[in-house]
Amino acid sequence: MNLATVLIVVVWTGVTLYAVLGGADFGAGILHLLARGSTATAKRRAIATAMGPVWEANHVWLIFVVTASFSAFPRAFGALGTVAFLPATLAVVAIVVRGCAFAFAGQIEGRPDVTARTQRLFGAASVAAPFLFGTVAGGLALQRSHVGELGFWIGPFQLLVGALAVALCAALAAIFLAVEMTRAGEAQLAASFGRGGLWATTAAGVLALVALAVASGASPRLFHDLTGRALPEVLAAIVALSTAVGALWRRRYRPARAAIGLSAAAIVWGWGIAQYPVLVGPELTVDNAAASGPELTAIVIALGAGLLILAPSLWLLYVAFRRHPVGVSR
Amino acid sequence: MTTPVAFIGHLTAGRAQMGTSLAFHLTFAVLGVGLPLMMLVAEGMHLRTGDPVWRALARRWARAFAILFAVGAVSGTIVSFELGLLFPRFMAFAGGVIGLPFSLEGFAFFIEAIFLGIYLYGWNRLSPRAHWLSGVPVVISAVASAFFIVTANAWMNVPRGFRVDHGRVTHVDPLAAMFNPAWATETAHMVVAAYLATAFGVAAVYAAGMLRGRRDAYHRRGLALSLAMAAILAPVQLGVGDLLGRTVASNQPAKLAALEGQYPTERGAGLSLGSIPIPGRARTVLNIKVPNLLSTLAKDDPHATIRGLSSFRKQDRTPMALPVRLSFLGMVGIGTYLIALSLWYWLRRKGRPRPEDRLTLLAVVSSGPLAFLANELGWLSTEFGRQPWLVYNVFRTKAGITTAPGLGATFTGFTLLYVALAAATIWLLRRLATGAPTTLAAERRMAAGA
Repeated sequence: MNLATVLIVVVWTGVTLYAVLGGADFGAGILHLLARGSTATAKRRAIATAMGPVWEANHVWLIFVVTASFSAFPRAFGALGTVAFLPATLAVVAIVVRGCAFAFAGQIEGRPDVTARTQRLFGAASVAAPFLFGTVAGGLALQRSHVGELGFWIGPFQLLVGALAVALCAALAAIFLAVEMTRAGEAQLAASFGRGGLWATTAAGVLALVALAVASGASPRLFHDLTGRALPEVLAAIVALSTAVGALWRRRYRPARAAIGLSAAAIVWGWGIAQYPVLVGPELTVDNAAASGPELTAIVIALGAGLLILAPSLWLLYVAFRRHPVGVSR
Repeated sequence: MTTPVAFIGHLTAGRAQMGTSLAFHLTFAVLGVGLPLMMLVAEGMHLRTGDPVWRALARRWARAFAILFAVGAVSGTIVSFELGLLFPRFMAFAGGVIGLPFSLEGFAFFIEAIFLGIYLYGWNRLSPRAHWLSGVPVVISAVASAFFIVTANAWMNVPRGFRVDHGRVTHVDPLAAMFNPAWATETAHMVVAAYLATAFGVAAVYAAGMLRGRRDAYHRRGLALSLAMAAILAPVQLGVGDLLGRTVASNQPAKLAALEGQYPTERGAGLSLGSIPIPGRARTVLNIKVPNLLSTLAKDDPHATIRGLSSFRKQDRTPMALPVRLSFLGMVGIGTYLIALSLWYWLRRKGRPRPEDRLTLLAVVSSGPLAFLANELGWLSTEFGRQPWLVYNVFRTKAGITTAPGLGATFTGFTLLYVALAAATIWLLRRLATGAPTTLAAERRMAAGA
């Protein structure tokens, strides 16, 4: 395995962590927007409390992916920036709006009207960002950067992948929150989040299968790769999604959380393996888009040293707030 | 490539969007470097003295920081995206060379975000000592972030550690690229500038409160702590700035000439207090000069030759001589004012301790915005001064811009977004700066009684 392959695995691990952790974070915003009925206020408070300490760290995975990919694969990064100019610009606007709206909403006191409006903005941007990232992922999977800007990310398959990303984010957040609420002794809220998780997971499963069917018509090559060398991941995703639905049905949230995390990871890796070694198709691959040897060596060493400090710090963060579970009644 | 709406040129729009994004991010990045140190000092004073005023200050700053860091993080995300969206050909050319400092910066930022989460949400969950300790990595990684990013900018000014063959970068030595001749002076100048701007910014808030009659211990200590930090660092910045000037003199003679408004090549050049270039002509007005000082400062020799701007080919020198000179003069002028102000405050206090008078407080209030303006002007002068190069003498700015259309529209959109974000942030911070916490007086009485 050469250095470029090592680095694409590292970048893809970053994409996976962002999909799961950042995805749960986006999903929390989506649930915030959708919260209805008598428990809406309690649910919104639970979401804000659970997200507070960790949302910033969850989103740094995006910065990690961006810097690692432009350092290791500068030509692919440049090409992607050109072809995905519009969706990436809109996605970064959505990220800015939701990040600021979340931080601001927590600090506004005594103006419930402003708080409510800020929170709606937070929710809407939380839907937009994963949707746009999903369309870019769909465009990359089709390997058609030569068709130009709009054709790259607007199409039935790309839009379906965008919707799939939104459903997955909602499912991740709902199940994560159901576990947290169970731990905090809030059985009613846990059940409510669990029902939301069941809907979102089912929707994600249906969207994934429809996307696969559309892919067979839109891009025979992609369909061939998804049902060929990426078949283990595709099957793993189907099994994990079904397991999550079953566990949610029986209100067993912990196994459901593991299953939904695995499904998101399996979908990301199935996509990656299907298009490997192509990065930004049809031309740029892991080898011809990579930086030169000394640059890659320096980046591998920097990433390794960074991870040595990062891993215990992250562990500390999650542990510091795990020992003191966050409850809404606090 | 066709641009449908041509109210602004393609390259100009792209540069303006990148510049606006960086200028916006800079304010928050500067506070992201400076505020953690002040929080930690205030909280440390509380640990040592037990005085709740210090703790109240640290907690208030932490709340403000929660807002500022969030805006800094997302505006930094914009910048990292825009590198690829606006200048994809530059990133394809040089992404690998500056990849090392950017990757390290990514980790430093990660550590800062993690420990900030622990710090902000840990007031009641950690022991006081553990809480204070959780702030230490925030202070260190904040400085490290600034350090790594600025080494990448230093490389754009003084590129080293690679060769160019047929338009592609080869023979890369990432360490030589990162530790180029400008790394030390440029990073030191930025980190000290960040601490200074934060200190004057915080001082301005408390001076404004005192002008409104809030002369309690909370405001007095907020002012004293921030001005103490400013007084220590302002003279340091004078020395660091001088060293950076020498780095520019030996590596970027065209930029030095633009910064100093020097058109003719001259032996024993004087340092000018004016020398404002007239656009379109190779001459300057208001040439008030201290004889031989520029040669002395730049080359350690009063009779050394300073190359003038006129001696460079037109396509190799900055087309923005006037903005470069004005922003440089503005930065130096504000810096001088800030040094004088901190000296004035402490000499007066030392002589005969008495309540701060109105004029001094007004001067401190003005110092906050001015210190941030100096940061912006410093970046404008160095970035405008490097033009027309994106990487000095290696890669032209116009060669890096994207081929995607619609930059006029995205520039307009982002500018509106920044205006809205700035308005929301100021509105929130103003609501937060409402004087000492109401519980503080009671808490102090209890502490005094106990």
